[in-house]
Amino acid sequence: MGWNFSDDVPIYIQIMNHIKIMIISGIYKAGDKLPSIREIASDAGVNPNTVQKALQELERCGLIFSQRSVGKYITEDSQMIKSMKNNIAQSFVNDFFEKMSSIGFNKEETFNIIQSIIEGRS
Amino acid sequence: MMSTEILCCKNLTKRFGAKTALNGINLNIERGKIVGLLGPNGSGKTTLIKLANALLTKTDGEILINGLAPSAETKKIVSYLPDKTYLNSWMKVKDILNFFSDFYDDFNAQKALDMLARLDISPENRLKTMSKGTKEKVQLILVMSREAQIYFLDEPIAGVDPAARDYILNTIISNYNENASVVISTHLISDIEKVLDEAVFIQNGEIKLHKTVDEIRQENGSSVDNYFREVFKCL
Amino acid sequence: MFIGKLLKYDMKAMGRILFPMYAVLIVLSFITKISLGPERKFFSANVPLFVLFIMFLTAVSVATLIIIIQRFYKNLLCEEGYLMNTLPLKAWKNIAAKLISAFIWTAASFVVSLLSIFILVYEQGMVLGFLKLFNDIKPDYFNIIASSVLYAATKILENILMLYTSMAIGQLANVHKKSLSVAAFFGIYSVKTLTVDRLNVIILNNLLNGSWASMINFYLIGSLISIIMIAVYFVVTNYIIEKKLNLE
Repeated sequence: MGWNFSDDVPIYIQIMNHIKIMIISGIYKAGDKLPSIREIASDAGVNPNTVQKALQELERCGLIFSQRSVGKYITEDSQMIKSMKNNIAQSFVNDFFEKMSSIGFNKEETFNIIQSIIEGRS
Repeated sequence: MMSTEILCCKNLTKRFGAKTALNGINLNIERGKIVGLLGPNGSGKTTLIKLANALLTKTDGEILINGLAPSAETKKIVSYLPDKTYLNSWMKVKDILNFFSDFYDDFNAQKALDMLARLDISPENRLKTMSKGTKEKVQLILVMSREAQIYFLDEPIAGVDPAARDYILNTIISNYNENASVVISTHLISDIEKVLDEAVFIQNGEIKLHKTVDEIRQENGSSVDNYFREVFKCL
Repeated sequence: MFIGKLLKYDMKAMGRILFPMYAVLIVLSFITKISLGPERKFFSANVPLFVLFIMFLTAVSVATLIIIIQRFYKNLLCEEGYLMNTLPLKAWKNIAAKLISAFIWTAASFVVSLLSIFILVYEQGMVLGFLKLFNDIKPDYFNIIASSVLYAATKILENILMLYTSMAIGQLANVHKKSLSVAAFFGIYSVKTLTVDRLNVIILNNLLNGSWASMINFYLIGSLISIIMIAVYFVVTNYIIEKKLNLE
């Protein structure tokens, strides 16, 4: 997955989000070993300290754990991953509804549009 | 290895006759940081770097590298990339590698050869035959192949194409080690922002700001580049 | 510790041009010699070739001077100065290495020039004749030859350093560095002529009364004065390069 950074949010937060997405979309599976900080930094084109900060934060909330001198791993707690996936999905949907409402669509109109798009796709 | 601060400037002043290039600079840089020295042309960036390299002598105040005044001793742990071609053009790449090995104990020739090989540059090539961009990459490789404690890169990405720029930034990232610091002086902020830990804004020989990149983004909700433009617009 | 390594690179850099020139000069002297034929008719048949030889002989001397100047200026005071002046060694080592290599190539150019003339005028038995001459005069004139060689050596070092000091002063300016170098050279030269050289002449007049002993004294005292000048030039050049470097 390509790294796309925006200007206004600290990079370490964006890295955290990127890794979270990679976890919930299955690119990183539960128990997988993460690449080294240096590799991630090089791949993303960012400062290694920033990557370290992001990983530290992810470790703090339990998504990642370290094994001394071996490396960092994704949690094996698939429940946690599943609930994070749900949370992120919900925030996507909420964002979507906010956007739709900001251009003047109410909930019913929004549902209709969703339905017609789904039918068009199948 | 002594101080936690690899570079320390206290009230550092440099005057050239009537002109004051640096006016009472106070700056501390810790080990393991990649720091951007950001400012418009003529702001004093190059003067500061030259002072750190003992290419200029201070008028007043203090500048210390690992606790020592700039001297032959500090040159052992400082690796400097000026914004010029400082290598002799008729030399072959292997001659230059031998040169660096001869004078610098911390020069890792094998690392340099590997990096050059990945760019398809042979040790037998002469600098004369290389394009400007390739020459710049060679100079960068030489500087980064030293296991120094502080690196000064003066405008490393100015005037190079985007692919070369990515290569240069990637080299800086992959070379990172937590005991050494890198000071990158540039006026092209948006390109290097993601690589920096800290940003130092300098103008008219004075330091206007020294914060981490995260702080700047969090406090202002915008990139360092945008913030820089704002700050300097009003000055 | 680093002087040897610096010397290696300086010798190579200057030799790149001088060595081929030496080769050409020697070949030219052989060719010219052969063209003179068995009767060694100088000033006869092959004037153009002879003239060419003389010109090239001069060229070697001129090239040596130019290369000495250029090596110092280009390597220490121009863009390469960013590399050389950030090496982990004190400034005096850079100056010393340049001085030593300049001296060696000056001596080499001198020897090669002599050799080329020797080839040109060579006759059977010449070498043996010279050797015999040296053996005969050696005990009597060893001292004077030795002291005159010392004098020549110190004078060469002094003059090279005078060039270096001029260039060091010249680079202090922000514009027209080369013009200032030339001006500095003439300035130093004038001051020197009016003071040190006058001193030399006074000594010469007082000492020389026709005996060889006083000639030796002249050379020795002259060498001493030269060594003092060398020290002065070196200190000034070192100070400027260490404290007043003005690259770019």
